[in-house]
Amino acid sequence: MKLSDYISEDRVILDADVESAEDVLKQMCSAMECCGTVCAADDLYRKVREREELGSTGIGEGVAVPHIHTEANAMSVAVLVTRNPIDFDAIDGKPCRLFFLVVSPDERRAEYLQLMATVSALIHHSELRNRLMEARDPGEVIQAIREAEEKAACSAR
Amino acid sequence: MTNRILLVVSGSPESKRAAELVIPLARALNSQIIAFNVVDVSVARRMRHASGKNEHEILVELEETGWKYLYLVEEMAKDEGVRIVLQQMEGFPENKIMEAVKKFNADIVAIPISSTRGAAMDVGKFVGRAFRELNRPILIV
Repeated sequence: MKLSDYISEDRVILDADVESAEDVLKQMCSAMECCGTVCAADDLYRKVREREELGSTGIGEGVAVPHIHTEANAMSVAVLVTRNPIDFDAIDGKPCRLFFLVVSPDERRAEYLQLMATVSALIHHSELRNRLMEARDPGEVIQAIREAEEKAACSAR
Repeated sequence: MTNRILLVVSGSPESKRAAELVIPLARALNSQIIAFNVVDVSVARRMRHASGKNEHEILVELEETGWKYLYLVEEMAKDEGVRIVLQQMEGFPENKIMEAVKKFNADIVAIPISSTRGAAMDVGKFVGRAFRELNRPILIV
C-alpha cells in the first residue's frame, strides 16, 4: 500500500498560519470536503474531535495522524504543515508541525488500519519529515513521499 | 487511583487477546491505555540471516506490523469509549518497556505472554526485573 496513492495536491496545505489544534483539524476537514471525500466538513470535524478526546493522535517527533472512519466517499489523506509548532498534546510532549488526516469509508476498516500503519512507519524517518516541513508547494510534498516510498521499495529488493 | 495502564502490544495476534482483557479493566477503572510496541532490533538482526532480507527492510516491516496492531487495539478501545494513546519505539523490548513505564508514569503494566515475532522476550525474566525495579502491578495476559 502506498501513501502517495491517497494524497492529491488539493489536500496538501503548507505554511498554515494556525494557532490551535482545532484550527488544524478544521482546515484539514475543509480540504476533505472541497475534494469530495466527505459531504460536510463540520460533521467530519466533530467526529475527528471526538476521537481526539479519547487521546491525542500525536505520535511524537512533531507528527500527528488524526484519523476516522466514517461515511466517506473514498479513502483519503490530507497533509498539513503549520508555520509554527502547535500544541497537540502529543505523547512525547513535543508540539507538532506535521499532520496527516486519514479518512476512510466505514466498510474499509482493514485497509484503513494498513494505511495508518503505512503513514506512521514512513513518517518515522527524519529525512522525510524534514523534506515535508521544508516543502514549498504541494507537488514537492507528494514527490518527497513518492521518493521515500521508492527508497523503501528499493531496499526491499 | 489508576490513571494509566501500559499495554504492551507485541506485534502479534496475542495483542488482540490482551487488549480484550485490558480494555474492560481500563473502562472499569476509568483509566487511559498507553498502547506500546517495541520494534525489536535483535529480531531484525536475527531474521536477516534466515530471511535473506536486509536489516533495514525487516525493521520497516516490523514497524508497519507494530503500527497495525497498535491501531487495531486503538479501534477496539475506541469502540468501548476507552481513552487511548499509541507509542512505538525501537530497541530492546525489556529495556524499552521499563523506560516507558517510568516515562509515562503507568500505574499498571499489562504484557501479553507471547512476544515479538521470531524472538520471544523472556517474560519471566522481565517480570522478575519489573518487580524489583517498578513498584506497580504487572499483569501477564
